Amino acid sequence: MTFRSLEQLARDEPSLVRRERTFNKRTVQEWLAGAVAKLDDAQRSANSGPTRMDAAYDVLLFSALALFASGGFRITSSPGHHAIALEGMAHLLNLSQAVFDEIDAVREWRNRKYAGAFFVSDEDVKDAIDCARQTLSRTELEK
Amino acid sequence: MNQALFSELFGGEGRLKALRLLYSHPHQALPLREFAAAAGIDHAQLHRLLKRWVAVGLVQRLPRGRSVAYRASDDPALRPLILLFKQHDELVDDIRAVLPASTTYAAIIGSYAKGTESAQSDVDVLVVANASEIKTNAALKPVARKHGRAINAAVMPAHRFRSLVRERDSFVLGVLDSPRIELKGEISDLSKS
Repeated sequence: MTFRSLEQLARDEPSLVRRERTFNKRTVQEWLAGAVAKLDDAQRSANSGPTRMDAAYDVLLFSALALFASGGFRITSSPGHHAIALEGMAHLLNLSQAVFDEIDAVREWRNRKYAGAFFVSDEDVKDAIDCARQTLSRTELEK
Repeated sequence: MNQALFSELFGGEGRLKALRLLYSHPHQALPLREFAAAAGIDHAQLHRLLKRWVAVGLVQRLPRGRSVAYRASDDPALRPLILLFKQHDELVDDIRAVLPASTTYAAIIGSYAKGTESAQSDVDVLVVANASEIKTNAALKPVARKHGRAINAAVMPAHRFRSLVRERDSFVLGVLDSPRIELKGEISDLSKS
């Protein structure tokens, strides 16, 4: 699978990806600060398993949003925007398919909670945090 | 699938290909020409086989205007054939190949196991293992891409499965009461602590 560039995503998915008129460095910094705070939440063992999983996923999403903002794009809140945000991030960070598959599996785990999946294993929390930490590091290096 | 063994069991390679196509997709009705192409067997040979199989009730003949389509029989006595062929389907083999090493039991559940799925239906898998659901689902993604359908694995350790049985959890009871395509282990072993 080839990950589409932000320009391509804006052409293919105009309701989800919009080009910004101006580049706003502060927006990028805010998303990154939000991702760092979420990583802290995910690593805090006093938090419940589902809360830590949600926080780990937010690290991935906020990293993607920072990258989009840095590239002069933004994501709308239309249905499907999470998958598109992660795809754009995979392109910008030049992620392998295997790494992206793991990120996408975290996204799907988050979606399953709406079907009543409240059980979280220690392995899942650890893998989601590892995935979030590595993605955030790659994002910070890219910026 | 052990092709030689199954060919012998079903009386030849052509018969095996035709029966596998019919019973791996029991709700799919195929016209003769399309059927022959999909199974990769000779049109005339298939016609002869279908004529005999319709006569004995192994296959349903469905008139469609001027043409005719063929589908697996819905006789409940033949259900084991569906499970047998699905058990050795390429998709099933591919899923089995990427299960976590710690898997003690795994099965395909839901519409695919019941034989009521459409071509777009997700394939649901239960994996009992000391493994991460995220890593397991990530490992299944190449299989999902290869076969063009989503695969969702629910992963849990054996002690959790047993406690859900005791709590009469609806998901686990549904698994126990419904058809499954076994990938690894025996479900009866899970009740032994």
